[in-house]
Amino acid sequence: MKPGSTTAACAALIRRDLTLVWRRRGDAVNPILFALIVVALFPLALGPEPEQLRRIAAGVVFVAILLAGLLALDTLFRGDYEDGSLEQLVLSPHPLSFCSHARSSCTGSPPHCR
Amino acid sequence: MTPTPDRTRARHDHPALLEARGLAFARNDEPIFGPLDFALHPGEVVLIEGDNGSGKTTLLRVLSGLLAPTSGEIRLNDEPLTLARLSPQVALLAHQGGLKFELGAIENLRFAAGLHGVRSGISPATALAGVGLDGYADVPVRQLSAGQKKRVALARVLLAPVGLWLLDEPYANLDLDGIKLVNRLLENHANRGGAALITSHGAYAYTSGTPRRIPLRPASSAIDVRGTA
Repeated sequence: MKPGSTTAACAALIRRDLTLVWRRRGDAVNPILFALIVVALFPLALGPEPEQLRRIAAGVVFVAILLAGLLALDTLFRGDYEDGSLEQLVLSPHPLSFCSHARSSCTGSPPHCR
Repeated sequence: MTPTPDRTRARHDHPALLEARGLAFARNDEPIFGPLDFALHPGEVVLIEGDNGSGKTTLLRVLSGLLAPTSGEIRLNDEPLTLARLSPQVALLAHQGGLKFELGAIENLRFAAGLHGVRSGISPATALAGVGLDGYADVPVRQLSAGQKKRVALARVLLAPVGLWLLDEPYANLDLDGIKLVNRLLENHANRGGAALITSHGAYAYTSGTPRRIPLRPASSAIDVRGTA
């Protein structure tokens, strides 16, 4: 009657989340498409001067990625809350912070929609 | 709904696994249940009976440490209940089964096994077979019926290496075989020294042996709801 290790729990959580991203890959590409569209719209709006575009390129890309991340942020824990998985996570015999870190490292890095 | 005679008096020398003292919960000053006093001992199945809206689900959420009671105290092995003390010992079956619909039944169970650990002598595959879902291992939970989803959630409870089961409406959505299955699982769990608190609105009941019953009524009309001797 021994609970599994926290490492095993985090591994299980990350594996589950990556599987879910893959199963819902249609949702997961949404933020990526959004970021691409934002980046593509800037030259259309500002005109095609290479010098100007080169100066703003890095900033535009960062802001677009940040905005795309914002799209996924809202759904970070919502799915788990609604289907009761969050209760199970809270009642798992592991520190909640470990779980949520595993969770957000998985949800955060690739823009991820759940 | 008269409380049945208490057959577990002999076990009362040991501290109760879970004990509620004057437990009450109110939401926005509106009493939901209580005050309740009861004790749950190892090897015991206790049925919480009440109509829709009588606070059964809320009571289980309070007992599982997910909600703080408005007044009263919960003791676990004679110590105040905290999530850290409770979580290695409890399996909760809630209305939302805690299953991912995109994953197969077996994938859900493997995840639960990684998260909570596994009872010795059982594996995700045997737990699934144990709830009568042999052959459904790779079917996404989304495609299962409500009763089959309930069975997968029950398999998750069965898999967890814990002594305390808190089951909210374990009979809901199940067919006759399923109801017998739940009773059998509860009986086996009690026989190996586990304890279970289950809720039901009374349409079905745990029939093996004579489970102790705690009637739950809206707090405003509460009469004596003491379930213990």
